Amino acid sequence: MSVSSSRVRAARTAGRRTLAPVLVAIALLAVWEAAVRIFDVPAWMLPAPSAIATELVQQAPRLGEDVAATGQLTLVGFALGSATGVLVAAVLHLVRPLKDAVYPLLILSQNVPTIALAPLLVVWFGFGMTPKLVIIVLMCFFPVAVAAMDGLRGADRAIADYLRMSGSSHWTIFRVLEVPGSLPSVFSGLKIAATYAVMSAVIAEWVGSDKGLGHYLLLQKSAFRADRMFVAIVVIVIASLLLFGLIVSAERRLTRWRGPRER
Amino acid sequence: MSAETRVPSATADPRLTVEAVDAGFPTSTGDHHLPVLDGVSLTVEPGEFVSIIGPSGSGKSTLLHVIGGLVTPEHGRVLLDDEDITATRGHISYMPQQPALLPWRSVLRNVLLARELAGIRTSESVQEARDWLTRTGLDGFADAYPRTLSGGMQQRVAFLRALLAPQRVMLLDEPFSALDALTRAGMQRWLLRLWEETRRSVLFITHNIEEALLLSDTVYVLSERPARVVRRLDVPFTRPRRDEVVDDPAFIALRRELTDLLATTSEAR
Repeated sequence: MSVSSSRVRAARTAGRRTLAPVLVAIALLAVWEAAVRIFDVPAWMLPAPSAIATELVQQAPRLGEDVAATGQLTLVGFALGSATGVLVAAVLHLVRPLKDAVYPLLILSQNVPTIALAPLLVVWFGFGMTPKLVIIVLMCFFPVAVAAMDGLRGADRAIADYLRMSGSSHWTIFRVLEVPGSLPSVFSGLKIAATYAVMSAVIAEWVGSDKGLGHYLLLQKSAFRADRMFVAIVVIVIASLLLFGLIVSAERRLTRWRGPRER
Repeated sequence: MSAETRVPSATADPRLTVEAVDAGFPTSTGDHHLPVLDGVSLTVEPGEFVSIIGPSGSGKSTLLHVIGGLVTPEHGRVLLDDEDITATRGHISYMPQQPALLPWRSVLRNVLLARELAGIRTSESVQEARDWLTRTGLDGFADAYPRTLSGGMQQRVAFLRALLAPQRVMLLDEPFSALDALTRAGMQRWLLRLWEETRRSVLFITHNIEEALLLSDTVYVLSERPARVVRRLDVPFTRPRRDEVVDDPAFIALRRELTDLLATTSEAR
């Protein structure tokens, strides 16, 4: 009884929570539309939302190839970067001296603007898929590695003590306690990495590519097609949200044991 | 350890002997040595409920860590029957102060954890765990996550986990100290009843004198650090023990005696 009523209440609050920002977004779009019409802003400078929407529908069929290219780049880079991040975190966590030596450098290296490495990577790896993947992998690697390490280190002390008293090895404690306990933290890292992944894929395409949304953006820039540049932006945002949503739903599924308030 | 999946009778339990154990830690300056245990000896006979009481900071947890094999004593030995288990782990079943349940495991899978750690995964184990949950009124929670249980219920789950562990001697480390007084009294009666049904060998750490007298066959009193055994007391009350025993004049006299003893060992510092 109380469970279902609290679920209804939760759904109602969630509904109210999404309603307000949606209303604000609609209001902002309306102001934008009105301003463009009233002040007669030229379309090459700032197109109206309605014009962008129309262009989006018209461009949709020919965007498929670019979306596929960027999507593939993003997913492969994100998967590689995240997997490397988790793997490196696990190794550093299990080999203490290695962690002491490497972890501070890892934190320090986060200050290197990965994007600035892009031209260099092109010099090293040419114009193929490799330099672009390397950028995305680097971008995704750090947040996941740091979050995973924090999660592994933050394991519940009382449970670790229980496991030790029960005769568990380091490896057993790692497997039974630390890995599952680090999941919430790993997912925080993955969510940050997901937003980085789409963004860095587009930027990587600016540096050197003949397809993808980044390439499309550059093409439309040289044609002064602001409406189409907005189309690209809208598609990028949607792709970002999709990936983010995918991770949130995986998180919900895998960390159901946490209370709704903890999440 | 053989892969037993049933809780055998108490006679199958080994005798736990702690023999003249000295233990200590290096101080922060490094060159000095802080003695914590000073020649502590005690015995838990098969099927016996033994309590250790002592002032807080008297080295009770160090003693536990010595028995559990986490701390190597400078002198002395820990024996299970004739087997020397000093500084080796995995010989005792442990119930900590905090429930220490894995939050992502259901109550049932938490109860099974100690067996799983010993490599025992059988359908008989699952059935047995379910039976115990039913016997202790927790059957409705078998598939629930620990966070949905009250503190007292979580401790019951932690006790069942220790009870179903393949190791035969149970070490309970102040298991009720984090509970409120009312829950604590309920848990003491619950443990008393359950223990009298199973008669496992138990070493129970507490700083609550009444709790020790109510539950135990034997009570050891430790001094302030460095801890020595200042008193070994055979609790004279018969089994099965009713909780009204706490109103017995003999009980009250013993409680007074131990209270005074603890007060003097604490002041002696």
